[in-house]
Amino acid sequence: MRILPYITLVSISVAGGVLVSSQWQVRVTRVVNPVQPYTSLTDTLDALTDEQQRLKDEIAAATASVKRRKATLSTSLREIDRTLVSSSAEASTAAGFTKVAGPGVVAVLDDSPDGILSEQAITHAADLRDIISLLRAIGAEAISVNGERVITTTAVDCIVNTILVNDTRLSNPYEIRAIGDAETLARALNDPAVLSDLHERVIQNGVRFSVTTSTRTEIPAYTGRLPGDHVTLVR
Amino acid sequence: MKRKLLFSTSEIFIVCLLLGVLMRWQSDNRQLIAQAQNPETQEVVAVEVARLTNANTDLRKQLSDVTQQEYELQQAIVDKQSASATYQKELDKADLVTGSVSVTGPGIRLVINDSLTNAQITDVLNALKNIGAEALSINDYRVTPWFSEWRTNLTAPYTVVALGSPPVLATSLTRRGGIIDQIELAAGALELTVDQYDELTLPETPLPNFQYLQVVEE
Repeated sequence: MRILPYITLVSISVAGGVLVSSQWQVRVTRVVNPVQPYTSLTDTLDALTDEQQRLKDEIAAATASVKRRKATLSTSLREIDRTLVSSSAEASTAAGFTKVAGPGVVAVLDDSPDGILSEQAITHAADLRDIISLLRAIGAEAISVNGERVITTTAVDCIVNTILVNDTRLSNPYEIRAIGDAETLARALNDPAVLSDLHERVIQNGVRFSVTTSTRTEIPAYTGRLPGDHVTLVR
Repeated sequence: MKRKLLFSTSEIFIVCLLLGVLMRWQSDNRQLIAQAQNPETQEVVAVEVARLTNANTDLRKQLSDVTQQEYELQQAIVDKQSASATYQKELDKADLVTGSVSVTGPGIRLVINDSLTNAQITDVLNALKNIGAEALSINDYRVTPWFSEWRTNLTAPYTVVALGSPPVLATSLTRRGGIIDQIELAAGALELTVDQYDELTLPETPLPNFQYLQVVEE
């Protein structure tokens, strides 16, 4: 007599029993559906993230249109104060409102790819803040992180394991671009005595950090919110 | 004599397949319920939602401003007189960000008498930006896109002036778990004062001479 079918049947029955009893155990007594509030929260998060991207795209498109109209205006109207036009263009570039390019570096920072992830083996907002501060100190003229232009009011923060730059959620790997003297920027970023904590974690905990020089790197324009609600210029 | 099996192989296969699907579904549900019942996970997502909601509100305002500017430029192309005003508005926005013009407004003055590391100074300035400071200075150096505490050799006492909503800046800075609390937790108590003002003025700083960056025409 072949007993295999019966063994299979018994196995299926036992597994089914475990499944039913485990389903029974996860029932909660008070909340009818404990998952619904959470999923609606995560759905909201996804929807807001999509909306943020859409708004940024619309701002970028409107900004490009503004730029085109300015070009039309500045070339066609002789009566306009030419100094004002050029000052405005120069200040907008300096402020980060225009896309720029130039020689520089592209640094990539990422969590350790293997082993047990500890605090020391992952990238932190503080690492990005240190890299930005260093780049500014050695003369970087423009900086971006994963396509987010770093301007005066840019904050780099985190909520548990999500890093936010300009209130935009970014995920690893983090690509930091900087325009300036490529050799100077690369030398400072690779100097273990400067970003000592980061370089130590690269060796000890497998954090990934690489720096490459570039003859031409592009940095996008800033598209986030602008300050101005509480301050007045004193000319 | 060959006995007939109770179930055919294909029937057992189908039942096993269904069981596999059910077990996977069960496992996914357990994971989701575990996440949903963890108040920390819920709180983190809630904080992210709140933050994104605020950020998107600001972006909608920004979009509305740019659209308005787009409209004004179109008008300016037709009406020559409004052209200068449009450019002036653009220049004002940029000058505020670059710090090339002095600014005034309500805000706070934070004075820390103890010595801080560069990283701690970075964190204090970053926290103020995060809370909503619109313009900043430290020891009379205006914080600009090129300012770096790593280069400036700042020494105590540190006087940080931040323009923005005074109560929001002051309470967020000094609340439990705020940046001051975090630094004190790591480095010990700090001797500091935070005062709110209706009007403070920040100095201007000249634009640097750019040697490397060029505008990309689009």
